[in-house]
Amino acid sequence: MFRITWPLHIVKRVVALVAVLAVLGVAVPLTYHWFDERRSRCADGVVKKDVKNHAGKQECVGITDGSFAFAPHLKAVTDRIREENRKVTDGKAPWVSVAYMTTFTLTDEDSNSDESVRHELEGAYLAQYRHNRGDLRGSPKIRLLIANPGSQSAHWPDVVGALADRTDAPDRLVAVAGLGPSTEPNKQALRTLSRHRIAMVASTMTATDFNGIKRFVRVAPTNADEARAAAAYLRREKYRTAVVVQDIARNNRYANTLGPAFEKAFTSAGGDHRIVTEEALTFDSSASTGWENELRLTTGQLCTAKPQIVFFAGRGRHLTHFLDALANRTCTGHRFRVVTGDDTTNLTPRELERAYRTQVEVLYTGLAHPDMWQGSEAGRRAVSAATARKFREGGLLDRWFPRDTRDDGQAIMAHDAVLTAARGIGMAAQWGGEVTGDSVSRMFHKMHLGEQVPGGSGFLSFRNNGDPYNKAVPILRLTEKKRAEFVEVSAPHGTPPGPRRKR
Amino acid sequence: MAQQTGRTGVPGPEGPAGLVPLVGECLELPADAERPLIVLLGPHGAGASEAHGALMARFGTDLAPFAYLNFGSEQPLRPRYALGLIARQLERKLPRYRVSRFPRLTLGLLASDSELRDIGDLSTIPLRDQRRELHRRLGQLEDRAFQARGDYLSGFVQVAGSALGVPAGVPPVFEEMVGGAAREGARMVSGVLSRHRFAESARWYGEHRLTRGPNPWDAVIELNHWRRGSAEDEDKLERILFAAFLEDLRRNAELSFAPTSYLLLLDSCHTAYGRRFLTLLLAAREELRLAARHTGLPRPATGDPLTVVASTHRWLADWGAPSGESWGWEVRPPDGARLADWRECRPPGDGRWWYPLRLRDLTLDEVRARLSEEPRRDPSLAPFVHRFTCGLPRAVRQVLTLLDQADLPAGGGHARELWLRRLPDRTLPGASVRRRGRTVPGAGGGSVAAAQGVPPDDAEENTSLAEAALDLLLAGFDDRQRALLRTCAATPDLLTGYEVFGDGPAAQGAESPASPFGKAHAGFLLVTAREGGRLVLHPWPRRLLLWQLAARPAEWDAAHQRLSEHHAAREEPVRAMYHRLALHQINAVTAYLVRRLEEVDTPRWLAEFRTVAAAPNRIPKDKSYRDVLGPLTRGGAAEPASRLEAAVRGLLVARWLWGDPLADPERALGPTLAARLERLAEEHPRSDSLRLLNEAERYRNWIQPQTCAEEG
Repeated sequence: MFRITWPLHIVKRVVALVAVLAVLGVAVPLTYHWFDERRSRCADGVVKKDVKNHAGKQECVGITDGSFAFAPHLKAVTDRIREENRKVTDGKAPWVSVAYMTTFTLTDEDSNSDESVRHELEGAYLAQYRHNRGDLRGSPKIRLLIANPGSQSAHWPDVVGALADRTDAPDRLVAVAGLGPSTEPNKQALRTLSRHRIAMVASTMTATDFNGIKRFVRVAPTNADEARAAAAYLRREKYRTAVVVQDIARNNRYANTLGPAFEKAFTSAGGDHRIVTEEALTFDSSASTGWENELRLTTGQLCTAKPQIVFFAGRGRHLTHFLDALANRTCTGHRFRVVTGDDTTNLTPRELERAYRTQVEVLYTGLAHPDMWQGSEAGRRAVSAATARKFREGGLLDRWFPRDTRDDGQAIMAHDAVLTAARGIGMAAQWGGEVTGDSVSRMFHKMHLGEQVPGGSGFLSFRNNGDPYNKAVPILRLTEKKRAEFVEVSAPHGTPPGPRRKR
Repeated sequence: MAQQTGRTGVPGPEGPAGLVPLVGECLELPADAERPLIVLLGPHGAGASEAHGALMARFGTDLAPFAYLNFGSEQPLRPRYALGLIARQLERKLPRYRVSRFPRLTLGLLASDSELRDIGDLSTIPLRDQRRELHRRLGQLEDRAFQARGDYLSGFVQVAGSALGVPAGVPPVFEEMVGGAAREGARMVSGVLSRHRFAESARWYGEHRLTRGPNPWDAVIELNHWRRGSAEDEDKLERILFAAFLEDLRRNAELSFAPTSYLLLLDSCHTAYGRRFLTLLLAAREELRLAARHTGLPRPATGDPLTVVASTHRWLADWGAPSGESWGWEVRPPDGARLADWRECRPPGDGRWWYPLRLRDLTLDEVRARLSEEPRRDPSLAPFVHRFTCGLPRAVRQVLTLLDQADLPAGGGHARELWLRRLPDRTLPGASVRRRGRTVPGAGGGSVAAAQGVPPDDAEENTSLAEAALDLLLAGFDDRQRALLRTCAATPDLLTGYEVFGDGPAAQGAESPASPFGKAHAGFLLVTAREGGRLVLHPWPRRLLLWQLAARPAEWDAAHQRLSEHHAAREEPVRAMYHRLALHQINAVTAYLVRRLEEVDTPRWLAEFRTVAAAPNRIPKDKSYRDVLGPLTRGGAAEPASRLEAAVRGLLVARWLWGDPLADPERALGPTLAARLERLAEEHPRSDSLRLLNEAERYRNWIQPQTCAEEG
C-alpha cells in the first residue's frame, strides 16, 4: 500500500509555504494592480495615462457622467451635466446614453483650445437639456457621458473600447457626438466605433475625406464645402488673384483637403480668377522645428507675387505665426487679405488679439456664429430662430455660462451634433422602435423636410456619405474686439438652404 | 558514560552502549517486519531504568511515539490497564506523525468495562436496530467516563497512573511528557466511537477466531460476557485485547504520515503482571505471525510495528534454567547488540522473539566520567568508587550522592580516609526503607514513590547507604533469607555458604527458585569468579552484607569459624586460612604461609597468598589502615619467631588492608606492600626473587583495572 513517509510537520510547513506563496502569488499582483489602479485612477471609468510626447506627464482619460471634471475650467458645465444625468437616471422615463467625445486635456500638440472644448461641452449640455426637458423635448431621454481620449486622441483605443462596453444595460450607449478635429487617430476611432455599431455625429470634423463611414454623419461642412463657400464669397466680392499657403503635414487632414479644394473652386468658374504662383507655398507643421522659418520665408514669395488674397490652408495656431511673419513683410506697401478655414475659431481671444495686431485683414469660414440668424437675410433663412436665440445674449447659454462667448461657434456645433443624435434617437423610438446604435444611425439619413434638425449652424440634413447637405457657412472677420465678426453667410452652392417644408 | 544530550537539547541519561543503535535499527524497519523483544537483564540498579531514560531521550521527543510502563510500581498493573495506558501514551501527537488511534482496543476495553455491568439483552430489539442500540449503550458509558474524567482512557490513568513514573535520572521534561500525554489525551482523542469506527472495529471482533461468530454486535456482547466469566474467558478477553492492540498498530502504520514503529518501554517486567503482559504480547505476536504465514503470500507480513524494550531484574521462569541453555539464548552484553546479531542468533521456538541483553557494570573509565559530571567532585576518587561498588550503576550513583555531601573532607589524608571508612553507615539523602520484608527502591535510585512524590507509608527515614542499597538489591528476599544471605556473605562462594548455613544437605534445594541461592542466581546477584568459574556473590552486595555482618561480631566469628572448619574438613587449607584471617588469626595464617613458602614454588605461593589475603576484615570503623597497620604487623608483645615470619606477617597485613577499599580507599599501602615483598625476597633467598620483585613492582605502580573481575 502506498503511504507517504515524509515527516508530517515538514509536509505541513511545505504545504503552508506553498499555500502562502500561492496566496502571495495571487495577492501580490492583485494588490499591486489594485494599488496601481488606485494610483492611476482619477474617478470611476477615468484613469491616468501618459501624455503623448510629454514624458513624465499624465492626464485623466476615460468616460464620466459628469461626476469628474477632466479639467478645472470644465467644472461648471460638468456639474450641470452630472445633475441632468442624475435626473435622467433617477427618473422613470426611458433613457439612453450619448457620449460627447473630444480631447478635454489639451497640450500644445492639440489644435483646440481650452475655451473651444469648454464651449463644445456647454453646447452639448444645451442640446441634452433641450431634448430632455426643454423646447425640443423628446423620448427617450438622453444621459450625456463625457469621454476624453486624451491629448491628440492618443488613448482613443481604450476609450472607444470602454464606450463599446457601455452599449448594453445599464448605460445603453447608442451614439457618440463630438469626435474631435479631423486627425488620423480620430478617424481610426470613428471606424472602430462604427464596428461596434454605435451611431456617430461629428461636430467640428471638416476633413473632406472623412466620409463614407457607416453610422457616421457630421454637422460641420467639409473643408471642400468651406473652400467652395469661401471662393463663392471672394468671387462675389470681385477678388481675382490668390496664393495658397499650404501646410503639408501628413496627418493634418484638415489642411490637406482645404487648400486643393479652394484652389479648384476659386479657379474653376472661369474668368480671370487665378492662382498667381505656379505651386502652392508650403510649410510642414509636423516638423518639430523650422516650420516658423518656412512661414517667414514665405512672405518674401508673397511680396513678389503680390496676390489680392492669401488663402492659408493650415490650422489656426499656425495662422498666428503666419500673420506675425506677414506683419514683418518687406513689401509693406502691399496690403494682403488672408482668407482661411474654420480652424481659426479654435483660437483663443489672446491669439485672436495677437492676430489682429498684425493689421492683416483676416477673413475665414467659420462653422457657425451666433449672429448668423440676424446678420443677413440668408442667415435668417438658414438658421433656426428658436435655436439661434439660445446662443444670443440673454439666451440660455448666456445665462448659464455668462463669462463665455459663443463667437467661435464651437458651442453651436456641439449643440447641433448632440441635437442630431437626440433627434435620431427620438425618430428611432417612434412607434415602439428599438433604440440602438444601428437604428439611430439609420435615422440620420431620414432627416429631410420636416425632420431636419433645427441646428444653430443651420437646418441639417445629411447625404448618404454622412456630409451635411449644402450646409450654411458663415464668413467671419477678425476684429479688434478679440472676437469674430460675422460678415456674411455663404454656402458651397453659393446660397445657403432654408428650412424645407413637407409638401 | 557521560550524560547524553537528547534531541530536545535536554541532557538525559546515557544507556548502555549498543542499545540505542539497536533500537534505532528496529524503529527504522518496515512496519510489518519482525522485531526483537529486547529484554535487559540485570539486578536492581544495573541501569535498566537509565537505559529506558536514554531511549526516551533519544527517540521519544520526536522520532517515535513511545509509551513507558513500570510494572514494578506499587500499582498492580493488569494487562487491560497496561494496554489502556500504553494506547493513551501512543496517541500522543508528535510533530512528524499523524495521531495514532486505537478504535479496536478502545471498543474492546469499553465493551468489557466492569462499569458496564451487563450490556443487556438485545434479542428483543429488531435486528436492524441492534447495532444502533449497542452503539448507544457503549456511547453512554463513554460519555459518562468523559464527563467524569475527561475521556474514557483517562480512567486508566487514574486507576494505574502510578505505573507512569519515569525512570530515575530522566529529566523532568520526559516525566512531564509521559504524564502529560496520559492526562491531556482527551484533547487529542475524540470520537473514538464514531459510527464508522465502531462498525469497523466490531466487524474485526466478529471475524476474530476467538469469538463465536461473524456477527459484529454478538462479538462485542461476548467480550462483555467474558469479563464476567471464568478464568478461561478472562484469558480469552486479554488475548483478544492484545490482538486488537497489535491490529490497531498495524492499521495505523499503514497510513501516510504514520510512524513505521512504536517504542514500548517496559520496566520491571519480572513482576507477575509484567510477565503476564509479555506472555500475552508474544502470544498475540506469534498468532499474528502464524496467521500471516497462512495467507500464502510470497512475502507475508509476519511482524508488527511494536519495538519493545523490557527490563527484568529476575530471570523469568519461562526461560528455563538461569544458564539460558534450555531457552536457546546465550545472554550477552548490549555493547555488541545489533539487529543482524539477533537475526543470526535467534533460536527457533519460544525464544524466537527475545533478544536478551545482560546489563554490565560500569568500567573504571565510565565511573570516572560520572564523577566528572559535577565539577566539585574529586576525580581522584574514581578508583575508590569503582573498587567499592564494582561499577554497579545505581551503587555508583548512591556513592556519588554521598560524596556530594558537604562534610566530605577536601583533599587526601587521614580525615578523609576515616570519612570514607564509614561510608556504608552514612545516611543516604532521601533514602527510605520499608521494614517487614517489603521494600521500595532506595533513594538515589529514583524510586517510583519518590518520582511521584508519594512517600512510602511505612518507610523509615535516615537510612544508611548499606541499608538502602541492600533493601533494593535483595527485594524479594524475606528477613530470614536476608539473614542467611548475610551469613553466607562470609564466603564469596554463595553455594558453599548455602551448603554450610542453609537448611538440609548441601545441594538439596540450593537451585530451587525459592531458595536464597536460587533467588540470587535468578536475580543476577551472582557473577562468575575469574578463577575457577565459580558463581560468587556480586562484590557490591557482598561488601555491604559483610559490613552488616561485621556489626554483629558473634555472627561474624561464628560464620567464619564454621566456614574455616568446613574447608579444613574438606582439606581446602587456603580457603580455611581465608576465613581464619577474617577471624584475625594472623599468627596462624602467617605460620601457614611461612610453611607454604617451603612447600610450593613462588608463583603458587603468591596465588595462595592473594587468595588468603583477600579475606574480609573487622577492623574498627573509626580506624583506617594508618591506625591498624602497625599494631597488626607487630602482633602484640610477643616477638616473631624469625625474621622471615615477621616479613610474611607484615606482608600479609599490608595486603589484607590494601585489598579493603574502606580500609585503604586510595591504595596508599601500595609502596608499603612493595617494600615488604622486597623484604621477603631478601629474607627468603630460596624463593624466586624475581617473581617477588616483579610482584612488588606491580603493587608499587598499581594500575587500577577497568573491571572488578580483573582485580587481583
